[in-house]
Amino acid sequence: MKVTIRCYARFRDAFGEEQEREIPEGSSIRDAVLALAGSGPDAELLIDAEKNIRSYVMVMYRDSRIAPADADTISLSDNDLIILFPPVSGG
Amino acid sequence: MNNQKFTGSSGRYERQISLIGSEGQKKLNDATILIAGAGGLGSPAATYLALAGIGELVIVDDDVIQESNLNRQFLHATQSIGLQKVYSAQATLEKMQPDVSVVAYPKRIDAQSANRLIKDADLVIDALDNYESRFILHEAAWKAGIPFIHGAIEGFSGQLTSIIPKSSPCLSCLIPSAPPVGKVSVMGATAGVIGSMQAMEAIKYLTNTGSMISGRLLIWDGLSGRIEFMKTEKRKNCQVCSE
Repeated sequence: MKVTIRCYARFRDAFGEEQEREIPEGSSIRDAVLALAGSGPDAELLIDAEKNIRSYVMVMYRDSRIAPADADTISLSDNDLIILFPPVSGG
Repeated sequence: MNNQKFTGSSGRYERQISLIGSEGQKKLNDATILIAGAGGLGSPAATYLALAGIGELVIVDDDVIQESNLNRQFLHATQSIGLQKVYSAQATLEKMQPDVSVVAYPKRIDAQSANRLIKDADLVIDALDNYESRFILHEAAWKAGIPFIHGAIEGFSGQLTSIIPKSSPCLSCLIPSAPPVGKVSVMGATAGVIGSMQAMEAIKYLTNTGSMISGRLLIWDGLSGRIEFMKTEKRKNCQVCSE
């Protein structure tokens, strides 16, 4: 199935504004983020050494925030959209 | 609360009294707002709040003006480089809007100063540039039951939410741990957008107009022109707001 991942701020700089990924049926939000992160040097922006989504990453799915720790428990459907945003800090 | 100068007859507020009424204008004039940060967000937020007729602005910032601030921090002029930001902000705002009383605190926010600063405020504008100070000030505001209008920016992006004690999730529910710190690039207009929205949130709250951006995080992306709203919920065992 196909999912779209939209990135903002420094995640966009690393992974592009909007990417489509083909992932197996029944994949979770975590699977989709892992597919986006890949294995390049920017992967560590999104995932830690245990391949979990970093705690500061804001994951938005169907208008709601998904805690990174819960990203493995939510199965995606074809054509779903995930939004990734790093909290910004400047003032 | 402050009690000064507004009589309802000033032409200065004519174009907004038609929106919020004389009662609304009086509420603005009676209000004291703490503005934490006299930088990129603080410049537009303080300016629009002063121009709207807020009675008293208390501005806190321990920083001095550097040349690299001047692409966005329009309360400060080139000749003010090296001065404390709060005094420059105070002078600019009082010249622009003689109705407003501006109190300047050239101090860093810590647990003690946060409680002291919050004490007389009706609302807080979070125009800070770091999460350490944000978390301290937010917790003090939450415990005192004072609304906290959070904004933050980076590059062409910004975020905003209004935290209303007892009705919305708190800042620690939304951002449990601070994101990694690095040198922050920012386009001046990004600060203008988010800082202006913070002023709008404050005006809406004080005059009970419209609906607040509360219980949701506004994410603004200047490069695409997109705005996203992300629903937020209370976090179990939140150290700040769990009862």
